[in-house]
Amino acid sequence: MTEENAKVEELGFEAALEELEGIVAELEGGQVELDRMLERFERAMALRRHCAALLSAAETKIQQLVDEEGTTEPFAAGDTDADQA
Amino acid sequence: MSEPGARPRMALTVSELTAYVKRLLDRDEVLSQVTVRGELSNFTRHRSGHLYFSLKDDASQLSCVCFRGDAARLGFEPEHGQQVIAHGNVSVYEARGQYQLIVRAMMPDGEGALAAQIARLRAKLEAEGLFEAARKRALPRFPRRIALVTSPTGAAVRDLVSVIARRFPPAELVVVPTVVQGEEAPASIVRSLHLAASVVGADLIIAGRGGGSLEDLWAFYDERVVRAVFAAPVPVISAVGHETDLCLCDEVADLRAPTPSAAGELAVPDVAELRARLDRLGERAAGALAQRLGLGRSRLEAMCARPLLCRPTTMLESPWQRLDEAGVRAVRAMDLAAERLASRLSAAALTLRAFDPRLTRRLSFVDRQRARVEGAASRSRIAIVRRLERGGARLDAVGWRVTAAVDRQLGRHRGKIDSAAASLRALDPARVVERGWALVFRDRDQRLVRSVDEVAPDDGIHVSVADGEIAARVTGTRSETQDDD
Repeated sequence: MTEENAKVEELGFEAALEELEGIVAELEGGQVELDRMLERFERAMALRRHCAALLSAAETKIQQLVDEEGTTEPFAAGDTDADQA
Repeated sequence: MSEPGARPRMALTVSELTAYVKRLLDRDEVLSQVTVRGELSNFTRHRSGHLYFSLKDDASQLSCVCFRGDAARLGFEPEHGQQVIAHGNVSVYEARGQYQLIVRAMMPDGEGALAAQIARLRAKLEAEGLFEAARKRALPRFPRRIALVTSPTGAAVRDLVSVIARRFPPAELVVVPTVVQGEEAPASIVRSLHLAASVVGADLIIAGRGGGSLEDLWAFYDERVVRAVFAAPVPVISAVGHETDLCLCDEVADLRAPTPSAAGELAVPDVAELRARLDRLGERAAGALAQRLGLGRSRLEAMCARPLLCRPTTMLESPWQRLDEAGVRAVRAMDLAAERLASRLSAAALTLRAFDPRLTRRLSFVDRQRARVEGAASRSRIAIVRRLERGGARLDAVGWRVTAAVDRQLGRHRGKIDSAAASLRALDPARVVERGWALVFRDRDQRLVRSVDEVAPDDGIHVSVADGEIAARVTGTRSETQDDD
């Protein structure tokens, strides 16, 4: 729960999913005040939406490394040689 | 020395001679790392797990032993008459004065010199601990950036990209162009592995290529490549397509996949499974909240049902009544007392007048007394009425404050419950059902059925649809979870 105040939109998938799992366990534990419970529930729903949005991201970013400095360019799949197996 | 028996003190014991020969052989560089090809014969597997056999060719025989630990790692079942390539060191079995090959690794012959070379390298790297299971690293659960160390134009990269992009879109992929075949391949793979970890910043590396002959895949048996995989600072999946043997790169990698597509499957979780998991988490959160709100609501209702809260003025009714009664009684008592006093005074006055005219002047005193009594009575009466009025006003003020506080409190709780209820409505299964979906429950415990594993034939179930329930019985189940997606 250390990232409790982090903006949901800025969380990576793993961090968001882990926080969501933590909140659900917390809510199910039944030790939370009602006021706080509503607040946690809203955050859980936001995390769930965020995770779902990340999963629905239109396309995976695919780059190709072009030099030893770490420069990349979009990877053009498709032109594959049959002989390169 | 040529004269037998002439110098008996020079004679060695058998043990001394044998030990001398053994030292000679053990020190020999060629004999300490030797690879031999031959036919297996006299093969025996001893109870202890050690293997005893001979290797022979047309003209010679060689005694061999393979100790239990090495025997367990052979990877094939040796048979009498089989052509094999064995690798190990030559030493002397002192008890019999027999030299023998201590076999560390062995493989069926037929793949030629390459196979022997691989066996030798495998034995060496294994001895260094490169293949130990204990040093293999866990893969990240949700990789953020995956480096694909492979040819940018091969089928392997196409398979990897399509499988990973389909299963887990949030992962970023960086293709590190690599030569995976031919003379330059080992150096290219080593360089790419280095770049993947250093400049690409990947948290997972997949290195591989499609299938091919042993010669095609040779780079993945190269010692430099194996060591580079071992030294990589992030986990490496080896994805070399091949049908039979494991290449050395597979054995050193943190995880091996039989093909590039399989590597994609192993590298990232499946989006459909994750969505289902998110749904379950959402349902659990809503369930926990609903349960808690139900509890809160029934407590609130119980509280509202108590007279104090449903009619807050009730508690003031009885004080009012008591106040009224007290007022009435006080006034009545005072009137009575005043009357009694007045009539006693009048009677006294009459009596006095009748007895003694001299006392007549005292009558005025009596009259004054009577007037004072009456005056006092009426003043007390006014004071009592005032006090009663003040008490009433205080009670009214208290009543008004109590009513307002109760209303505020009830309003706050209703607001909270309403907003939570609105959140819940968004997840309400009933709304899903209205759109034509159905929910299936087990009769036995009323639990929602999510998987074929949760019911068995003949189980009673009921199907909840928008306008009611359908009772049913399971006649059979069929799993469809083997899908890719």
